[in-house]
Amino acid sequence: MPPPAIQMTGVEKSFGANRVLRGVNLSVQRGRSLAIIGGSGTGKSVAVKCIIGLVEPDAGSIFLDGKDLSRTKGGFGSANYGMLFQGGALFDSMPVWQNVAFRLLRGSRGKEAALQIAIEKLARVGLSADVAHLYPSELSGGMLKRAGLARAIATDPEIIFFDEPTTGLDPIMASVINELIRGVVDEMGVTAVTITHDMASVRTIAHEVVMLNRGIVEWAGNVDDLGQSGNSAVEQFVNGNAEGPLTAAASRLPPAT
Amino acid sequence: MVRFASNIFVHVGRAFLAGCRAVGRISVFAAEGVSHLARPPFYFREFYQALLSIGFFSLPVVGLTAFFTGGALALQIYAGGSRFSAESAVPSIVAIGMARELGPVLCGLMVAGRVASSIAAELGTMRVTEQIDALVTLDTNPSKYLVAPRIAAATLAMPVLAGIGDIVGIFGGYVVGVSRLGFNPSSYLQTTTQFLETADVVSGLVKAAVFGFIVAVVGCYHGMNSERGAKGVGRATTNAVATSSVLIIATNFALTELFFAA
Ligand SMILES: Nc1ncnc2c1ncn2[C@@H]1O[C@H](COP(=O)(O)OP(=O)(O)OP(=O)(O)O)[C@@H](O)[C@H]1O
Ligand SMILES: [Mg+2]
Repeated sequence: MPPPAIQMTGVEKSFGANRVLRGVNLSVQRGRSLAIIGGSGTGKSVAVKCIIGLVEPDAGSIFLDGKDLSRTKGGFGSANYGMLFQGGALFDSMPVWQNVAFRLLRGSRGKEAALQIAIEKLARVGLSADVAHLYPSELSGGMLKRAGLARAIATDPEIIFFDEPTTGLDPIMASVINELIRGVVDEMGVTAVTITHDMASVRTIAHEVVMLNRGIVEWAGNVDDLGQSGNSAVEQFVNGNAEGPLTAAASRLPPAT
Repeated sequence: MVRFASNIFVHVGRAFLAGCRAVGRISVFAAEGVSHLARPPFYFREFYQALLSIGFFSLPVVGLTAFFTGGALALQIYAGGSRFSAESAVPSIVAIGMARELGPVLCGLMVAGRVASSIAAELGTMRVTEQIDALVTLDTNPSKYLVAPRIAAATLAMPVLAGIGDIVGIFGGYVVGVSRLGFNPSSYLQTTTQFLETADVVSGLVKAAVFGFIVAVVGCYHGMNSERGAKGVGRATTNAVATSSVLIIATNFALTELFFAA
């Protein structure tokens, strides 16, 4: 088997006294879709930012196709990847289409061609061409998310990170986005890493699932085994029970500061 | 009493060390920003927009400040000069004072208030809403894209602003001199230029360029390193104005000392 597209081993990260990641191990093969689930504040976004190099881990290693990124020039930037941020992170100084076409506009392609591609990508996430010329401040939360998604897929990357792609969307739009993610994985062989709380979404888009809990991997496995994980924390999360090991642990633990 | 005094020294010492550390970090930050100017690509659109917001839109503030300061200067020099019957020196002292000192310093401080704050707020908001992280994921170096164009724009725009400030300030002095102090219009203008040397103007413009550099670097530094949340951005903005103003005043002294010795 080839080395995983992405692999994290023993990654630790603290912000001051707040130990967010306490030794995270996970991996995903090329062309596979990994979902990262877990309670709010357990370090899912931080873990993804560690992979991309936006956050520098305190310990542990990250591998891209088997190469240790700390010893690779350009780090994760050498991969052709896209990222959807949890809050969209659109540039509010420019209209939506320039956001989506940001990298295209810096290439050799002309402005018209870039605009066409932007409109086409916006259509894929269910946004009409009128939206292209609006500024991010004129969009709703769900529209921002979808515009961010269009930007993440604009250059047809090989690896895409989605941080909560369906949060804040109506159920119909959520299905559209789930189908989109599934589509790029199945049809274009994209490697996808999706952070989500949405269990319906996990079942649609993911091959593998990793559950983070208080900075470590609580459970990892195939999406079909999610129902019979035999792990009470996973069961509580999947079924959305208020009572269970996750909440019991949280109330036992001293505050994280 | 002794304890109180030693406490003061401890506090002053700590503050001094913290100041040195901040200046060190800002210098490293500035060096990185400048190094991007030497390597392509250069983002012309960002540069042009920065030039517009730093240079063009500062014109009203700088113009008004210079005008009234020039006028006040004429009155004060007249009041002081009349004590040893040197009223006739008003035009040249207004001109020399504006060109060497007040033009660049006032312009620097006004731009620090206007521009360092807006740069820090803009970049700080970009930091906390992850727009700067997003730049990285779009294969764009944030320092090259955001910092370098602003440094270039501010450094180039400030001498122009200060030059305009000089002229408007001298004009303010002229208006007051002619209307309130009974100067003859044409002889006022003649005396203005008579004693003004090229070095006066050039030294002032060089100062202005340095102040522009400081404003952009400090504004960008605090914005890029903003802490999270609205409070973080607010603090970045305040710090940017305070730090750049103090640095401008201190650098002004150092540069004046340098030009004076030369
Ligand atoms: N830049 C940062 N500076 C300080 N603390 C941070 C930073 N980024 C994240 N944290 C802290 O790390 C912890 C985990 O944050 P993270 O954003 O990874 O959570 P998450 O699992 O993505 O949660 P959610 O599902 O709510 O998005 C939180 O306690 C957060 O306060
Ligand atoms: Mg998150």
